[in-house]
Amino acid sequence: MSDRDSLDRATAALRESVGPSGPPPEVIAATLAAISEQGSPDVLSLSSPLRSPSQSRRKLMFRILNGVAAAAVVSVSLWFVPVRSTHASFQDVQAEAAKAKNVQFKMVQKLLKSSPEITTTSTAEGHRLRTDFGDAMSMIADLEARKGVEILHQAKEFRPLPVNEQVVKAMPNFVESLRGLPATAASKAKIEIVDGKAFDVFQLKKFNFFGADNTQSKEDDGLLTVWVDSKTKLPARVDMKIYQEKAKEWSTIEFKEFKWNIDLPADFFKTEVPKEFKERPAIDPKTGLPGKVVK
Amino acid sequence: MIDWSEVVREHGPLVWRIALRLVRNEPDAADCFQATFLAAFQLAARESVRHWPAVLTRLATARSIERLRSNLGPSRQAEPLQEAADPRISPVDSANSAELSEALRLALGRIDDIQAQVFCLACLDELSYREIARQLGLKESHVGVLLHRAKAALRRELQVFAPESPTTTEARP
Repeated sequence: MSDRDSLDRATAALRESVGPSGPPPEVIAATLAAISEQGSPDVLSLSSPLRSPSQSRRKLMFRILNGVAAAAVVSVSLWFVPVRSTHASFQDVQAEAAKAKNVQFKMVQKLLKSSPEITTTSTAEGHRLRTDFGDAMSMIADLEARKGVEILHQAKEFRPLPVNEQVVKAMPNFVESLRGLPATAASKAKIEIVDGKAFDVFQLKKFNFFGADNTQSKEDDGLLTVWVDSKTKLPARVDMKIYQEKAKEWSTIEFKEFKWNIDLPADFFKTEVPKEFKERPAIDPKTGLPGKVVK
Repeated sequence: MIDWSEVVREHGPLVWRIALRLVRNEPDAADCFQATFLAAFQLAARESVRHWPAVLTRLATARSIERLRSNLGPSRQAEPLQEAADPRISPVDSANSAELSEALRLALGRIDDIQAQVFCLACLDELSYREIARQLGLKESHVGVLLHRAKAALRRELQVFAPESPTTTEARP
């Protein structure tokens, strides 16, 4: 046996010295978070975040220990274990959303190029819905009690809201819309790490969601993108791009700043208004104008 | 646009294996892992990457050798890897292999940096001369020379394991 053999044997031994196991999930999560930070212009302007990777990792680990470790672990396990079982995962999202006590989110709509961007805050708890247009106006509906009211806070006025199909369509229920999506059509596009938190990203090309239906559209670029918190399996953001057939324009609607299972004031969905508020004529659902309501 | 979660998912095990093989402890391997992908991220911002495995192998090897060299001081100890025992190999042979493997690993931290990289890429990761040359920005003929020098240096480092040297054999337990 020669020293050449020793080198060959040592090389073979070193080559085989590590098994096929992969990196721990928290290392992957911290690395993706670091890459995510690198992608941010703010981070790129730093002198050299690469100078001390261990410091960076420790910082990220610290952040993970402060609350996102589980999310990272869940996301990584999704990559390595049931990575292709996307349908079941979207079903999990639908199931988790159905279990939620309530949800609140901001909705930013840009319906047409010429139309202004509208931002509203929507809250849903079971059959009770509320949409706030800033501090100016609130629409509250109780679908079970078939009662609704539109309150103009600054003007101290209110208008009864007949709860019929049109109103329901105008105030669709997010959770019910989500549950109505065909889980089999939702493909998992990728996993994103934002601020150290992992999100599963699902996409649907054809959808009927939140009052917007593109299932019959001839345009193929319509897209519903759902970001799901890997830890809670609840939606954290939804982007909808849909073609307006009549206007021949694309509309975009963003659902963001989600809050799930929050404590709301007891009177949050109250359809009764203070005595000093004056009543305005109700909107006739047939004409869309104030006037006598035909129920 | 590069989907980095996909890149890390697909090539993470390769990078982790390279790092752990050379640094032999998970905290250092984790540092090398992150440094490798951050370096890849910066590289991808400058040029398009055609072959991720080769690029990441090169980057991971370079980062791991850097860490190995810095660890050769007394403060850090390598951890023994928990490998399943191969029933076909006797305990004595297994111990000898582990010893040889460790000796080679430490020797890689002592020889010239670029020679160590070329050796790892050629003999451990089994990249072709052409790929190594492309990755390191060298001529193929130069890769051959560096590999030859690396092997010569490593043989000198491993001479103690040569059985024909009775003195060294007796000295070993």
